Amino acid sequence: MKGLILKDIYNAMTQGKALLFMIVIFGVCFANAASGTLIMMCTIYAAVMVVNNLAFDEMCSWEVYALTMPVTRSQLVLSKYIVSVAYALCGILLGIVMTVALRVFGFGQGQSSPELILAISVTGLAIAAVFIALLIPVNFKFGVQKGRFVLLGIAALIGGGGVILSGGEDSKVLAVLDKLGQFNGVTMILITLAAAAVIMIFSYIISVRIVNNKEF
Amino acid sequence: MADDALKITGLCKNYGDFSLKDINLAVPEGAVVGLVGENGAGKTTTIKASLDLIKKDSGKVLFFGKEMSEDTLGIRNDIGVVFDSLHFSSGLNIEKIEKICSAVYDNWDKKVFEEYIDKFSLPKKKIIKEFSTGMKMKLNLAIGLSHNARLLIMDEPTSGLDPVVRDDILEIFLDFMQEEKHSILLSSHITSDLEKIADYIAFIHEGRVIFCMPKNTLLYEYGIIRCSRDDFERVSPEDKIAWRIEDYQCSILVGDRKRAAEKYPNMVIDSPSIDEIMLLYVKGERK
Repeated sequence: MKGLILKDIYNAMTQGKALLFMIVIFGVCFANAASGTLIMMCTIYAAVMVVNNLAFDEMCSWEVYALTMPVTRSQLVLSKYIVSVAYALCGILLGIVMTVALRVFGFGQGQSSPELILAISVTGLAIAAVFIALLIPVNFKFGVQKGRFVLLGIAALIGGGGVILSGGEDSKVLAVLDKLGQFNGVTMILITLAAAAVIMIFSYIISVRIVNNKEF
Repeated sequence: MADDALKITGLCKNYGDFSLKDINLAVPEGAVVGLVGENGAGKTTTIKASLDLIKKDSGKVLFFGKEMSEDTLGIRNDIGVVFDSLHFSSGLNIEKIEKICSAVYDNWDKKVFEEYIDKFSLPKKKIIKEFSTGMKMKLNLAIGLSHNARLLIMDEPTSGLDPVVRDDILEIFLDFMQEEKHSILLSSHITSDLEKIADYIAFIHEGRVIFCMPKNTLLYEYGIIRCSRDDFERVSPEDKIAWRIEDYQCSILVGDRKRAAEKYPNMVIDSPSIDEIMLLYVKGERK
C-alpha cells in the first residue's frame, strides 16, 4: 500500500510546474474574492488531481503490473482514496496559507475568522469527497477518456435533478436544508464530515466491486 | 521428483472469438520452461489467467502448491513478472522506482537491484521516458530479479531487442538459474532464445497446448524427413507426427530420428529446430 501511495505522489510531483502555475493562477484570480473562495478552489482542485494519477496509470497499464506485485485489488483501490483525501487536505492547507498571506498584504474581502476558515475547509472537504466519490469509480469503470463523458452525464443528471427536487415551495430538499440550518456550527461540521465519510465508503465499495470484476 | 513451481491444470477461458482450451502446463522447480507459439496463440492469455489478471472459466493454477487465493501476497512476493514493456510512468526515474518497489516487496534487496543497475549501466537519475527499449527491458528485469523471487514469469521479454542485448539478458537468466530452487516460465516467439536456455518447450497453438516436452528430446530425438511425394507415401502413418506437403518437397516430423534413419535409409533426415517443428504443426497437418 505504501508503495502505491508513493508511486502516485511521485507521479503527481512530475507535474510540479503545472501545479505551481495553477497555484499562481488561483492566487491572482481569487486574491480579492471573499474569504474562503481560495480555500474551496484549492481543496477541490487538489482532490480531483487523483484523475491525473489514474491517467498516468492508464497510460502505462500500471494496474496490470501492480497486480503481479504483492498488492491486492482492494489495496489498489484504497490507495487512490487515501491519496485523493491527502491531496484534498494539502489543498485546504495551501488555501489557508494563501488566504492568510494575501490578507497580510491587504487583499481579500469579508471576514476571515478561524471559525469561518474551519467551516469553509470542512465544506470544501465535503465537496471534494463528493467529487472523489464520483471520479474514482467512474474512472475505474470506464477509463479516463470515456470517464470524462460519463462524468459530464452524471453532472448533468445531478444538476437537473437538483433543480427539479428543489423547485416549488413545498420542496423536501429545501425543507431538509432548512432543518440542517438550525444546528449549531460544531454539529454541522460533524454532520458534514460524517456525510463525506459515508459517501466515500459507499464509493470505495463500488470501486472495489468494479476492480474485482475487471480483467487486465 | 521435483515439486512444481507452477502447475496449470485444465485452464479454460472463452472470449467467443478465441479461447484457451484445457491448458495443462507445469514449471518444475529448477527448470526453465519455454512457452512458444505464434502471435495470438494464447501465450499471454495463459500467463494472465495464471496470474489472476483475467478470470478463468475453469481450471486450477497452483504456485508452489498453493492457489493464488490462498496466499495472494505471499505468492506475489515469491514471483517476479516481466512483461514486454515497462509499466511505470515515463516521468519517473530509477531512484524513485527503487523506492516504490522497496515499499511494495517484503524481500526487496536494494543492494542486488543496484548491482543490476550498475551491471546494465542504467542511469539512476534520468527519467525512463528517455530510456531506449533495451534499457527499459533491463530495468524491468532488474526489478523482477531484486526481490528474491523463486519463479520468474516472463512474457516476450526479449522481443524488440537486438541480439547483443538479448544475449546479455539470457546470461542473466542463466545466472538466476544457478540457484536450484529457481524456475522460469518464459514466453517467446524467438525460439533461438529458448533453444539456448529452456529445459522444456511447451508449444501452444490456437489456445491449446500441443506438446510440452524436454527441449533435448525435441532437438536430439525428433527429426524431419525431407522427401519426395512418392517417398511420403512410403513412410508409415504411425511414424508421422506432423507433415507438410509442398510442390517440391515433403517434410515429415518423426519422433525417433535414429529409428527413422534405419527404417528409411534412402531418405534425408534433418535435426529439427523449434521453429521448424512449430511450422510443421501450424502450417502442416498432424495426426
